[in-house]
Amino acid sequence: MKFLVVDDSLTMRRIIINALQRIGYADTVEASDGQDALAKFDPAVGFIITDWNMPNMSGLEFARAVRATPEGGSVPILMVTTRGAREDIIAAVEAGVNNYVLKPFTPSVLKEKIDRLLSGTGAAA
Amino acid sequence: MRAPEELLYDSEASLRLVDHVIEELGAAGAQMDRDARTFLDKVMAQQGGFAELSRTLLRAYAETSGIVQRIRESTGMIDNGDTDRLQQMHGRLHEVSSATEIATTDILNAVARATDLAERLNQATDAERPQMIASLKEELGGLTNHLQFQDITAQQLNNIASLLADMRLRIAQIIAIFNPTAIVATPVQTAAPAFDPNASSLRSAASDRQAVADAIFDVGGQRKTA
Repeated sequence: MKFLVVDDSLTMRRIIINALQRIGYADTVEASDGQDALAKFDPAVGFIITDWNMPNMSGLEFARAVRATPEGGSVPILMVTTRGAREDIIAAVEAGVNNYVLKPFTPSVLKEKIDRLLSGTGAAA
Repeated sequence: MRAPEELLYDSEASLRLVDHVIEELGAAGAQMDRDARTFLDKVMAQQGGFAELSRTLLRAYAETSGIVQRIRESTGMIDNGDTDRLQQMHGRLHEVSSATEIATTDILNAVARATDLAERLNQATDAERPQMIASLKEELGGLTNHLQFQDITAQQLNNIASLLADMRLRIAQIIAIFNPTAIVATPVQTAAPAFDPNASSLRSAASDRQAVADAIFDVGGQRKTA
């Protein structure tokens, strides 16, 4: 499965990709903001991990844009962000985000959310 | 973009300068009192001195009114929000410093544990070795995890830089009130970095907020499967 990892921080992209490799997902493509991610999004992408606060296009706008595409209706979107206010989380749900991880996170939390989404038990939409 | 610490230092230096000018004005006021008495004695001793005094007072009134008006405008630009912002910046810088130290300590501890495991591997039995290698991998993987503080502190520093840029603009506006001809450097317009003003590197805060997120998404999941 191909993971699309979207974050404006190169360090965070490296951390997330390292964590994915450790849990067995080596096929990754990375993007530095929502616009870049939208350009790299294709039907081969089976899972999206995105930050919220990014220049040019935020993670929230990116999630909405993905949901508006014919092939983006069912791809799981996991948001990994520092934004933890209740209204932010609700906005993410409304934008089509399937689950949410707060930074700083541990790899086990990331794995648990990915496993839940891939098994179809942890998606809100 | 200039370093936030540098901008904070400049802002503090500007505020100290304003304080110094106010002190100087107080000292100048006492000298003006003495000068005014001398001037008054001199003018009143001349013929038509009273008319001259009236004209002088009218000129002084006009000048004083202008100064008072400028002071009113400048104080109108400084509100309680500015001191709150300075306090907020101080808190943020403290948190950045603390997060950096915690992450560094965590990394050093992980390196020490990994080194210890690597040294013990030489003496380990075949039965012990797989578990020790797994632990070593876990420690090395954990090292990268500690580096998340970089993303979070970068957001905090961007927040501080944004607050300082705002303060700098206000100070420039105040300078322009007192001296419209002063050449005040305008803030350089760069692409606004995206940041979360409430970003925190505290793991306890993240755990609490993660619980809230899980609760909201669990309800969403139940709604979907219902």
